[in-house]
Amino acid sequence: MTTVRPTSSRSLRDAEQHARRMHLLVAGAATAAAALVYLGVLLAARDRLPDSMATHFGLSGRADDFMPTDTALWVQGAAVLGVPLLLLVVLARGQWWRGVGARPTTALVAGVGTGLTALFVAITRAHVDISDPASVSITWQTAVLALGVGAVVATAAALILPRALPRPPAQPVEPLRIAPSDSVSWFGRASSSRWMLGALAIAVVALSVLGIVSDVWWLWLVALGVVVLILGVSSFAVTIDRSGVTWRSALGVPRGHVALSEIQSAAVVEVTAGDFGGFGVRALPGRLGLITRTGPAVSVTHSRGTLVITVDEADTAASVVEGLRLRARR
Amino acid sequence: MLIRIDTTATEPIYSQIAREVRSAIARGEAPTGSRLPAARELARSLDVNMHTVLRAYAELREAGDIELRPGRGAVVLPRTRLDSDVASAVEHLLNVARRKGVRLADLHQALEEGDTR
Repeated sequence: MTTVRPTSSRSLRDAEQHARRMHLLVAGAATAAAALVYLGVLLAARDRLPDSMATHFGLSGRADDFMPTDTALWVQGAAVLGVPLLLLVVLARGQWWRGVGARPTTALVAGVGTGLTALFVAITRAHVDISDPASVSITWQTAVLALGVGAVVATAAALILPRALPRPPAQPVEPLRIAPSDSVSWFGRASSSRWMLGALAIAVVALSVLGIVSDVWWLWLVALGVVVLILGVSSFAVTIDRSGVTWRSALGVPRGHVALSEIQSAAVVEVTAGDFGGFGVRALPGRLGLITRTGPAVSVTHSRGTLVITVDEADTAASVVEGLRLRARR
Repeated sequence: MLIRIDTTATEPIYSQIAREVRSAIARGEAPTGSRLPAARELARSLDVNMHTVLRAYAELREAGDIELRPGRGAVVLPRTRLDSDVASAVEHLLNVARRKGVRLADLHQALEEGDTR
């Protein structure tokens, strides 16, 4: 693990504010610019488009699916503006600019938005002054070009964005006083908020409904997979005792254990989803996060890395680990 | 939920476990409807016999603190409200004990002894 230069909380706050502003600005500017370009092309080409447009192209580049022009343009416009905006809203909930993956994430949002726009502009342009949309074809060079536009914008975005923020310092805790004849066990839980579980439940219901109406049988498998995934990553039982720190998901797997003899320290840290690039079981180099919510979490530094768990009463958990560790050392 | 037992104390371990669970409930660490750790798990964690934990859970069930449901384990029941006279007597007792520097564990033991007399 790299060591972080000691930073005062004030300069950390300033750095975070700067990072947030830069990330929102870059993502917002790329999205707005893409939307404006698309709108400009649309206004210029509107009167010269056929009644229906090709919206899907086979591998050969020939059009194989069509839509009324108005609908096609609305769908394209919604994608150009909607996809990046939706990504931004979801990411902003987890304060993504604080995380280690902040730069690639913003770059991806900017790149996807502009790449999609480039593709739609090319498709719309190919329809200008054409009466039969079936004669429209898109070459693979066009697709590569759109991809290239997205990649260039993403790279440019990554270059102007600030480096990843230094980690906020962990808050040390008062170790629990444990006598040699005491036996101490702490049982805790890290659970997702009702909002999160509600949103996931809606996703499962939507998938199931889609499975019913569309007759696509494997959508049921997807829904089942999502349910298993939710059970596996949304709630963890954590035990702290003389053997160390043991955790397991509501499903039983994934699970893990850090032996007391391996533990070097325990403290409380404030985490957001952005810190680990999302919720769930998050593995980063040297760090494992069981992240079910934002807020205080227990951070256990051991010989193989750091384990961060968003347990309830993180301060008690940290003080029990410290107490057990100090007693074992005596 | 923090469970701490003293293996050298005169108070039986099952009674210490029951007392610790009760105070965890009182502290709000085990809210109504939440599940206590499985007896086997708690026993292994504290390095005590599983029957000791089962005895503690049985005592908690007798006292109406928890409910033992097959398949769901030990579930915390809503707390019974103390009569206001008793509540103020408890507060008075705690104040006196604090002034005299009496430990809560000793106070518990005194109450238990007084009950059996």
